[in-house]
Amino acid sequence: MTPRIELRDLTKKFLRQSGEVTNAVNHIDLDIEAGEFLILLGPSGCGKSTLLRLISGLETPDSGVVRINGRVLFDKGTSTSVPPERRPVSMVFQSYGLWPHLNVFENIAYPLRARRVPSAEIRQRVERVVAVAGIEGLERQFPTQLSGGQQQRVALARAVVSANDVVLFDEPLSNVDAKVRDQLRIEILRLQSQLGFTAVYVTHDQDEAMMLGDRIAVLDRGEIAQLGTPRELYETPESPYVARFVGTVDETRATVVGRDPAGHALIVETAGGSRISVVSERALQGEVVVMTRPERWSIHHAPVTHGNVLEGVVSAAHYLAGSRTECIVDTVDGPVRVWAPHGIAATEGESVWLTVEPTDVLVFGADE
Amino acid sequence: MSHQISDATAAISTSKQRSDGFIWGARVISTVTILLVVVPLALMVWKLFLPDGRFNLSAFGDLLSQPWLGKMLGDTLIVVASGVVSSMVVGSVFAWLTERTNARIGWLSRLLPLLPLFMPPLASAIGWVLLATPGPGVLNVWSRELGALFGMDVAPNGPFNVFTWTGVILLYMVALVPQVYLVVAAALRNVEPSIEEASRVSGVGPLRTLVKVTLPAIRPSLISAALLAMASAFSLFSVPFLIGTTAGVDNLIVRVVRITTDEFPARTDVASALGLIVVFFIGGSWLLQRRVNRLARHARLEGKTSSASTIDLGWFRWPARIILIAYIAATSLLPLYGLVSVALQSFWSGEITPKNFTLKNFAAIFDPSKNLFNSLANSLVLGVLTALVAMFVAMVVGYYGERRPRSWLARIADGVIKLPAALSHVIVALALIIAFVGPPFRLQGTLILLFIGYFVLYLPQASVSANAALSQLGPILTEASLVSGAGEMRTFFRIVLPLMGPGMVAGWVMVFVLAAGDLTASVMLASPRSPVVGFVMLDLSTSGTYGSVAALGVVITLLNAVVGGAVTGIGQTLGKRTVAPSRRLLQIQRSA
Repeated sequence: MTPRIELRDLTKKFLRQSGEVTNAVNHIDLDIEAGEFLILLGPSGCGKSTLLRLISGLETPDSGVVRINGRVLFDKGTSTSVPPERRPVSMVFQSYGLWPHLNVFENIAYPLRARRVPSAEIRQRVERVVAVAGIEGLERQFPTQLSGGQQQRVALARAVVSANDVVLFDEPLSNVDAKVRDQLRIEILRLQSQLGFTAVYVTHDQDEAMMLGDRIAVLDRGEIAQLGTPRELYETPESPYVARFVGTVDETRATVVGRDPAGHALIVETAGGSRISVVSERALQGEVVVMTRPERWSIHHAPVTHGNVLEGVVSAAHYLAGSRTECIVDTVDGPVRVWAPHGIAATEGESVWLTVEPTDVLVFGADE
Repeated sequence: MSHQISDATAAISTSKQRSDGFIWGARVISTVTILLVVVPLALMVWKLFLPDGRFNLSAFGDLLSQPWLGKMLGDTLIVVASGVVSSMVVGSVFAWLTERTNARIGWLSRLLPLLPLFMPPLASAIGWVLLATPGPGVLNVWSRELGALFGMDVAPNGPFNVFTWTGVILLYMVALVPQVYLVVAAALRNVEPSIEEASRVSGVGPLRTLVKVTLPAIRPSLISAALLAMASAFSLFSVPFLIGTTAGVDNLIVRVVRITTDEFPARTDVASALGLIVVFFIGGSWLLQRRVNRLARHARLEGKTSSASTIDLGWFRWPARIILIAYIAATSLLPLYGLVSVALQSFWSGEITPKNFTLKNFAAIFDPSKNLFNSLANSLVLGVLTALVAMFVAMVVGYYGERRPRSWLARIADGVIKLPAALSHVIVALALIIAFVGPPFRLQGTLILLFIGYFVLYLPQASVSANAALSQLGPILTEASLVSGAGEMRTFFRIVLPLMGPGMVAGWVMVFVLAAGDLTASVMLASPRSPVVGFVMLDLSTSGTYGSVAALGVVITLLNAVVGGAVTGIGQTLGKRTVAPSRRLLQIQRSA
């Protein structure tokens, strides 16, 4: 049997106070494979949390089907609706959702008690997940006595103790500080590979999405804008929305003026008059939007004559943590961001020449 | 390890899940509660317009032919209007002083709104009678002695007379100030301090800032406070009955009670017609208030980013504090002193002397063969029971509504249990009399009828406390329980109830204190066979047995204070672990 989550034509509308109807989830079809780590990524209000809550049963869809491991949990057609407590899912909440009147042990044991597991077995299994989550010795503490990171580890332990096939994560790391967040990401991945559950993980943080996800579904106003691996999303975004949301881009308007002799690349002319060749599988003509990523530019201190060249003056240089400097280069097409290694980067006021490979330029129709 | 855990999964998924007992229980409880509130009221309206099954307005004709109607309406409106205006001024100034200036004293700002809770309205009204009756009133005795000390001649009956228009209006004000204070102080606390600070650094002085910035920002709350005070003023019974009657100030509520209880056979139809006027005023003010609240929600300034810098009153700081403390002392300690001193005298002479000092008034209360003892016992038992049942029902209905927001039953139940607050106690009691006194129930003069009365009357307070506690709890903790595989029943008893403990305790104290000290419903629903404190006190005070009344007043005030204090104390120790995190959670949710 292949355990997996199947969502068919799932829709959820909300009525705003103004009387306006919002399509929080709009006819979504999605298959999540067994043992997969799937990310739901998008800005706030894109419907990613709502989609997660439809899977958990905390919200009821307006229409569609939810199946887990082939079992129908919701089907509008047959009026099936399994309440959250009877679904084979666990959930980790953004604000932890730990019960302040129960100690750590009782918090973790709660899902087992709810399922009437014998108490000897409860003790064993809680001990095991406490060890896995790295919170040994905290069992008798109350949640308020713990740090944010520890609390989220307790919440993780509670989610995995019932050994459900599916664990849902609702922005679990946005309330912990940056250092702990990095650490917990690694722990979540380790837990998942160790225990083998299917993870559905909601976040608005693209770095987190790229690091954790086997696949990422980018959501836009209740619809899946693109579903793919982190690499696919970054290198071949299917829409300007995805390109803008995953990674950083600078963009400019341009017009298609022809094809290069070999026929592999489009030649576009920007509003500022630069000619750039772009490799794209799309059959584009007329008005287009050209996007470039800051780390794909090479910076030169002497004139370059061939390839995609943009000349400009460095108006600002920001030394960033890590290995690179961000240069803002004023060109005929407006300011362009360039991330270059510290040693290579230019200084303010310097004239530079920027080059980019035709395969590294993204192009979309102007109306996309 | 992964393997071991997966083994256990099989056991879990095959284990039997129980059905949704909670939702079914909540449906039953909601339905019974709705019927208990709505059916008597519907019956009252039915009997008013269709007394013999046919449309008939004779009750209104009878009412219009009463010679006292015009003066009664005029008197009521004058007293209500002056009470509301004066309490708005005093309550708002006090709220501003304690929330926004350096005259603030921490304990005082918490104490002021609680005081009237612990002293039942009847006890405080009787306290004022004992203080300011011409002649033997405690204040008059004091002034005469003070006058003699300085060689001044004070009128033989003393300068104070509570049985006047001024006396009635002042006591209305005293009764309403805490409610105004509560609303205005909360609003001032929630005003984003930066809007005031922005005005101050723009070169505007503190008083102009108050008038130009702060007051406009809390205007919806001010209107809301005035409407709340108006609704309370219309249903106030103790002051107009005990003092207004002697002062010649007629009153709507007093008339309804008199028509129902003094006349035989009771003219419940005329009383209902009068009641309709009360409903018109109180219901109208509640509807207005709801509108204002809805507007206020849009205009509300979210959260508070920094603690407000208080306004320095300069030399006026201490005078302001003294005024605040003096007001609190005068409105709580003075009437209590009046009660205590009269309770300790064998006959009311205005002063305790070795000759007339006695404890027999207190002894009588604890003599099981006396009605006084029965009334106290009945009030306490009814108070405890009503508070328990009302809080439980309010929690169940509140949580049911949260879990099933689309259920029409949950929505109706939520609206209906707040309905009694929009009606006067007198109206609710009247409706219960119409519904339960005749066949088939024949509950006249039973403790069951009193229990139903208290339950219906104080459901709104229970519901407000329960909903406040629920909203502080937030949805995440219950959702975490549901996705942990726990059903609604387990979630309610293991998560919701324990976490709402402190909020519930506060609600319980509130309902207990209100029910144990209830006056209006008790007067209409109790009988010599089922005496309760309010009923007996009123009975004794009309027959002039002030020693016993005063002693009973002292005992019930002390009991309320002790029970309230003890239970809130326990609640706070219990709540140490639970309140802080739920607040934190709230902050988290706000910031998210």
